[in-house]
Amino acid sequence: MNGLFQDVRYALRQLRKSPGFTVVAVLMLALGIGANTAIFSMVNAVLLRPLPYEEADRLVMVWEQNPHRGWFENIVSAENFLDWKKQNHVFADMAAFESNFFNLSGGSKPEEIAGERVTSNLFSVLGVQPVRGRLFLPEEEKRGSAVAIVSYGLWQEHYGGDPALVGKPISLNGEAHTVVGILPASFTDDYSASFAPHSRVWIAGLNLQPEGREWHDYHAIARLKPDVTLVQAQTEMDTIASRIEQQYPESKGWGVALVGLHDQVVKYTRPALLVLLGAVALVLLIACANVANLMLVRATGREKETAIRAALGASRGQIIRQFLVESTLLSMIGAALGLVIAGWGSEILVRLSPPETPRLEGAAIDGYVLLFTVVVALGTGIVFGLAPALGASRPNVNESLKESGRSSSTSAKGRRLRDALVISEFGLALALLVGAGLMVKTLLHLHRVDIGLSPDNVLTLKVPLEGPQYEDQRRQAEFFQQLLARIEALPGVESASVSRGVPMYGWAGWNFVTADHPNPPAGEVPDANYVVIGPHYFRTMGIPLRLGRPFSDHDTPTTEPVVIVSESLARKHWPGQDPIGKRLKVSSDANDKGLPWLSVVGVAGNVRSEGQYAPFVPELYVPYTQGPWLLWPRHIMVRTASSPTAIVPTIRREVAALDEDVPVSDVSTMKEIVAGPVRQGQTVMWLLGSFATLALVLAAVGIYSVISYAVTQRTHELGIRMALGADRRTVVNLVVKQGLVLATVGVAIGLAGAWGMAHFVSRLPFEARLLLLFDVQPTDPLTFVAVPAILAMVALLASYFPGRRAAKVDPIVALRYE
Amino acid sequence: MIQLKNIERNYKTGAGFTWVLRRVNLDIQQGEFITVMGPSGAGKSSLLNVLALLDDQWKGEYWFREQTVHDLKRKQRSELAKRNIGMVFQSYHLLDDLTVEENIDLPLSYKDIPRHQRQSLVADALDRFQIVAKKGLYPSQLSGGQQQLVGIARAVIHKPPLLLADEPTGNLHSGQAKEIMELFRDLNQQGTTIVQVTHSEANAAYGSRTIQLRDGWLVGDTANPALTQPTEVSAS
Repeated sequence: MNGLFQDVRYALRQLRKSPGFTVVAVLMLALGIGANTAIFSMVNAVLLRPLPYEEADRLVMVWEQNPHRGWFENIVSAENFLDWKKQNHVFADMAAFESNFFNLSGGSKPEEIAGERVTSNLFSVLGVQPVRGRLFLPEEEKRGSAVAIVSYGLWQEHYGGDPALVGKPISLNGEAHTVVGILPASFTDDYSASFAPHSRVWIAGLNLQPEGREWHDYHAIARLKPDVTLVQAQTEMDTIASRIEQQYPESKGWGVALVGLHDQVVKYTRPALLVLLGAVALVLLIACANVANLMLVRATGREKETAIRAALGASRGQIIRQFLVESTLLSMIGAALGLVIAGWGSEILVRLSPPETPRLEGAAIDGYVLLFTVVVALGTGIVFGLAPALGASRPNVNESLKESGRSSSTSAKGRRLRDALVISEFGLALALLVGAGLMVKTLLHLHRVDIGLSPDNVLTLKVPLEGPQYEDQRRQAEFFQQLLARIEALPGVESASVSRGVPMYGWAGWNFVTADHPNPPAGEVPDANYVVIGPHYFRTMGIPLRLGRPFSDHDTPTTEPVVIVSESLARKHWPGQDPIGKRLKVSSDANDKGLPWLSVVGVAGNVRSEGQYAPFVPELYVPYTQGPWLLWPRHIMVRTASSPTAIVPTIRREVAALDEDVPVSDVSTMKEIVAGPVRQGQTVMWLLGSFATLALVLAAVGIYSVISYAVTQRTHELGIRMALGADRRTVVNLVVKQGLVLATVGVAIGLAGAWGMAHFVSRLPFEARLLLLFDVQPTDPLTFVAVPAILAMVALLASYFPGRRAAKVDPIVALRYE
Repeated sequence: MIQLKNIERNYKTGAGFTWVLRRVNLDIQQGEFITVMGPSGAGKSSLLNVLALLDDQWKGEYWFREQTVHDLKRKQRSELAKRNIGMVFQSYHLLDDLTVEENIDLPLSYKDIPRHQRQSLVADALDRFQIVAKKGLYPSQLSGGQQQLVGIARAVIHKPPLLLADEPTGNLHSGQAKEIMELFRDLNQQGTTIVQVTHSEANAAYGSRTIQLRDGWLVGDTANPALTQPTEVSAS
């Protein structure tokens, strides 16, 4: 222990003695360890931290799936849910919920909050207890029980932490609901946040009733029995689903898909985080290789010291320990600085992350992250310290102690090791750069995707009309008619429309039949996005009308019911025919008397309404002026002549002028919405690009230092060559060639690695791959040519400067070196 | 062949300048075998470096076969040296990572000589110096005498008219030294002008002329017995 203490003291003195070396090494390590710690803080928060539910690993999401039609995680029908619940033996319990929005009134201004209508057992399935009050009771299952549980945040922010809130009524959509419980501050709705904004209120009364198995409306979550695995549960649910499929023709093709809740929550974020973690690990390895190189050079300069120690009786182990203490001390100092960098980095990462990234609220430097950093620092210290320590532990005492001995003589083994380190740096940097290159190309492709609409200068706002006064659709239509007239009269507004939802977020799908094929076989009823819009919708959104006419104010409940279909729908159902005048009914039953046949009056251009990643899906548009609608319009779209955000306060005033209880929420420009689906990719690209640049700089520093050192080592040789007639250019070429050979070998190895990695990525499931590489081959030829070229250029530059210095070697001085 | 006029060379030191060559005047005729002698620090190696055109920080006038070296640019001097001068060093200065054959080829590799011609020149040299059997060996596998043999072969491979040797036998025992000196005599007899620096009277005996240096001054020349030692001038 005493010896170790002495080693630490001596190591500190050594580091103080070479401040240049210490600063450079610490900086490189701090960058490497800091980047790793920052990314790990995200990985820890998002992927490793258990979900805030009791025995969360037993929670699973239960989906319906129809692989034949390309639907894999579909919300479920009430009947199927009830049958599953009754027939299964694998779940301790099952709960269902429906995401919703509620107008919370009673405060200073109306506010729309996200919430859920749930089965009364949701919280007991999750294993959550309230901090105040109680959970829902089974008898509160029925609609009309009007009880609510609120989040801790809503309690604090909206009700000032009122200790007597439990038992009081709150107004949701104009109806009084009694608060029966308040959830703990640690509770998060991770189980559903990826499907909807964070919920702040839960109301009982989902009251699942048979309404037809073709109606898929609810999310389902279940808790596995303690001794049941996910695979066993899936097997039983498959059996139940196939029984239901045989029993009910409308369920043809539908099965059940179970997804572990944790996997469900992080499935879109995990690939990106793992890629980033891999990237920073590579950066750290490159930094390690660089510091190892510096240590090797330093060890060479300390041969005499080591020889004296050996001559005085130091064992091999003692010499190794002394070197390792020094390297570990370096990495610990690097880690301390790295923690500071990680603190900033972690904040920046959270800020850079798309808002939909799950579980970010816990991203911080906590005990686990600290432990990770210490382990990484210790590992790093050993990784870069071991080779120099082993090399120095067998000094040639006889040679080293000779006064005349060339102090900087270098063994071929040491040189090979340094070369190998530089080669590996280039290999690692190449892998990172290829990854970043592929991401850049992916993003370029995503930005070039034709989404079918023109998002510039378009504002979207949510104006939800809830409550008893708007239950009559005619009242809603009147409100929107007045509001649109007011908005379109505002200066700078070119056009405005209502819409059910916003493109890019996806719409609700609906079954329909055409008059040409009124009776499709069960399970093969076509479906399309059902979009309720205003007459100026296409003009406002910049969606071209290919055929026919847009809607007008003359399309009213008393005129012929009309519909506009998308090109893809028209092409699929009336190939080679004029779709104008064709008829369809938005129902799976052509004989449904309650719903009218709609005449096609127009064909609109296709829109990627489910994001750039998704293909065009068929859409059918119906005019809000011609009720009844199956879904209520909630959004207002406004096209302005210039930047649309300035007009928001005016629109708020116009809404309040019509009804001061109607909230305005989700204000956003269409440009922001279009950028939404690519935000994660963009963040990953920037981060990967930054890490790749860092790797490139570190690799350049690596090759520069090795070549510089080699030039010092070769002074004598270069002097002889110059004395024998080598001119300056020859010497520069000689040195640059050495750098290029190392870089080329590194690049070749890196290419082989990157190629292997690309094939691995190409075998990933489609969804995971899509998030990283969109429309880009993992073996994209341009990237695989451009990246080695960049690395070769960097190697050329990094070797050129030492080469130029070598050319200035004075042969007389060099020859006197002997 | 060579004419030096008032050649001076100094080095900057903390205290001012240290002179290593002072107003050296020297004529070297084609075919001479000159020995440069003098105590350590007399300026022998410095003179050799000036003659070899390795040093270009000197002042004075230098003619090499009618060429005014003092007017030439660095690159032209380098070209002149490449064509006309061969160097043999006390420590051989062979490159450790190159074989005997590759070491001998080194000066040729810096000239525009086709590869096949280079190969035949190297083969000739190996033959001439009777080291064919050693061509694939590395310097560390040779004795000191063999290494110097390779050094000389390398120095004369491109048939330079002037061979400069800086204590060529300094690291060899007397038997090996004798062989090397006899080789020099043969080369000289074949027409190569040789300037050697040595401390050995025995080696000097192989030469045709001896010059003496002391403190940078040329103080003796067997070809010019009238040369007297100049007055010492303190360094400035």
